[in-house]
Amino acid sequence: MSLPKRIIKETERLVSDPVPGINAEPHDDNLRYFNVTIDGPSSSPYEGGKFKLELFLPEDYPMVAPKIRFLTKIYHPNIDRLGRICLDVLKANWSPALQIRTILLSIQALLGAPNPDDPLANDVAQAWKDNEVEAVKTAQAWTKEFAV
Amino acid sequence: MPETETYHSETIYPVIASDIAMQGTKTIDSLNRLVDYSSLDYIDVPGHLLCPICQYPFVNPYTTKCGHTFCKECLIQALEPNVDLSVECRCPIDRRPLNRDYVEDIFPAPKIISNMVNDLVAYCPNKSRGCQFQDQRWLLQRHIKDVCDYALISCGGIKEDGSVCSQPTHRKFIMEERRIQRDYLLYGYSMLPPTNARLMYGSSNIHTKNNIKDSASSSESVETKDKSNSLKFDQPSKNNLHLNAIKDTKLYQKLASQDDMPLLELQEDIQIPCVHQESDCANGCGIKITKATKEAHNNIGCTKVMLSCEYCELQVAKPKLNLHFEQCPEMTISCSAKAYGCTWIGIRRDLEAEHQSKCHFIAMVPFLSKQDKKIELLEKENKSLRYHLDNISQSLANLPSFGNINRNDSVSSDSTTYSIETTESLGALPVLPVDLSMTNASISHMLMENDRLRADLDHLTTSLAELEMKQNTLFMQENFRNQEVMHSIKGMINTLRQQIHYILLEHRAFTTNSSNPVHIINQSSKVASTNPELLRRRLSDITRQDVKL
Repeated sequence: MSLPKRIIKETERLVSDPVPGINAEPHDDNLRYFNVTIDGPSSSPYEGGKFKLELFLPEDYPMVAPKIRFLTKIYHPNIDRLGRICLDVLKANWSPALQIRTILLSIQALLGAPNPDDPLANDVAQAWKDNEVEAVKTAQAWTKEFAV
Repeated sequence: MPETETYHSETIYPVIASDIAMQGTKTIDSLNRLVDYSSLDYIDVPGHLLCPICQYPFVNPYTTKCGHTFCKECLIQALEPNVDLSVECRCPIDRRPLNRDYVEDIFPAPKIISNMVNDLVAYCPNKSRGCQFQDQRWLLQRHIKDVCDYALISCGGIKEDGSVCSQPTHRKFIMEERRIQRDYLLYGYSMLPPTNARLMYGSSNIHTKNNIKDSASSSESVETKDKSNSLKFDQPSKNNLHLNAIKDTKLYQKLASQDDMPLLELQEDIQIPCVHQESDCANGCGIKITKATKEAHNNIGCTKVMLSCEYCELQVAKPKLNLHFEQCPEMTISCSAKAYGCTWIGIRRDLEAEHQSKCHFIAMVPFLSKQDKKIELLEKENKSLRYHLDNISQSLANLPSFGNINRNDSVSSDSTTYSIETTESLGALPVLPVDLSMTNASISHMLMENDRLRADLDHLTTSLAELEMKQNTLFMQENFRNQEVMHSIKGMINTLRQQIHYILLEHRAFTTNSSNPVHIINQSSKVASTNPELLRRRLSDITRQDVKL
């Protein structure tokens, strides 16, 4: 199966003109599979961490959303312990006009602004709501332990 | 492109159609198709003319009622309703609900947008074959159909057996052939550079020349050698006639005075030999080539094309040039131990004569390469070990479903980190992590065994209970049957008793009714002689009667 031109173009642009703080490289064997690294946004509990993700472009991309998962452990109300991400644009709100780079930017923004009201990891979200200071501390500790 | 194409294409189409008809050549690939605008290599495209979905300049642009423009195909695909209609179709940009079946929701974009994208400059689609042409994309179609040297068209030449060749080839080979043919028809010699003409044309040139001579002075006899060649043209006489016809007309004068005669005017009439006809390479390398493969052969494959080495000025065949570079004594090279740090650079002759004996690095090369190999081996081993370790820790991580979640998890992660550290830093103590992983493996094995046994036990208990049930029902059935038998026996006994009762009653009635006991005694004695039992009873009866009396 040949690779759609859009994917080739997006890949070229990701490599030649990378988004600051985001690095995405296609796998040698499968050009639909990307190894992604996102730097934790500054002035967030994830600052200083380098978070690894895997990204896969399904057959129907760009008509369906890419599949993305955190590989690095992260303490975040919208990311569960398997690394799955709760983000509307990855699900119902996906649009073919979105791209890999816009999606990765959305994820980076999600790290900067956790949303405990729409949780995926319920325990984390509860901790976040009950005592945000403590939760932020835990997130910092996890970042230091797993993402540095 | 379909319905919404600009005025450009409307003017192109009829021209192309007539061109093809006029040329009489069948088109092979891109000629028959329209140029695929979405696969062109564009030069400098403004971002606003890119479709947000496919990220390429619009093809057949369509606009939504919310004012966003996409390629028609992309938009239709993006607005394809879900199978279960659960998700509403929305504009890919602002998520406004759209229905692709409504004309007021999506409609062709304003003409100016189509015109702007069609004016974008792109390379010829045959760029990969060598065409350097670039133009606005709506003009590329015409370029490919009429001009492009690298477009594939069917050969149309006459093969040795007289049939017409239909193999595809680049237009330039056919054009070259036609140019030569035209020149011979007009002037009796080729306008092309002589070497080129000779190489391209070979012996069949002579044949054509002779034909022309023949036609000019029809009395001359054809050389025997050319008889075989004349088979290549199915209608050689037609050429002559045609030439005569041209010569007689003003057209000939006109054509002869123009060097750059339009080719198309003569294409229909000129018959060319097939460009796929094989011949020996003119350089004598012994390889069969065709006119279509000649250029590539001369550039790369021909062993007789000599090039002089740029260092030692030796004449070397082209394919062997790289081989020569590995040995050329005059070539500038760096020291063979460059990888290990030697910075010497000079010509190869000096390396062998002077440097080799002085260089300390070269002396170290055998040892260093040995070390390199060793390191490589170790790295490989390390990699495979790490892979195994990963596998084991993964299988351990999957264990929690068997119970002991937390303990096992911590053990596995500890052992992984520990073992990696030890293999990397200490290296001398690889036993410990191996042992740990061994215990981990055995634990997982035991757990699995345990699980299996538990399943077996469950199975056994259920089968036991089943058996018990079966036995119980059997018992019950047997019991019932026995009871029935007993009942029937009881009934039988009862009837027997009743019969005995009845007999006794009869007997008693009989004895009380008789008035003469003696007679009875006599009677009974008679009976007693036959039956002692009865006799005894009679006797007792008598005694009883005696008592009564």
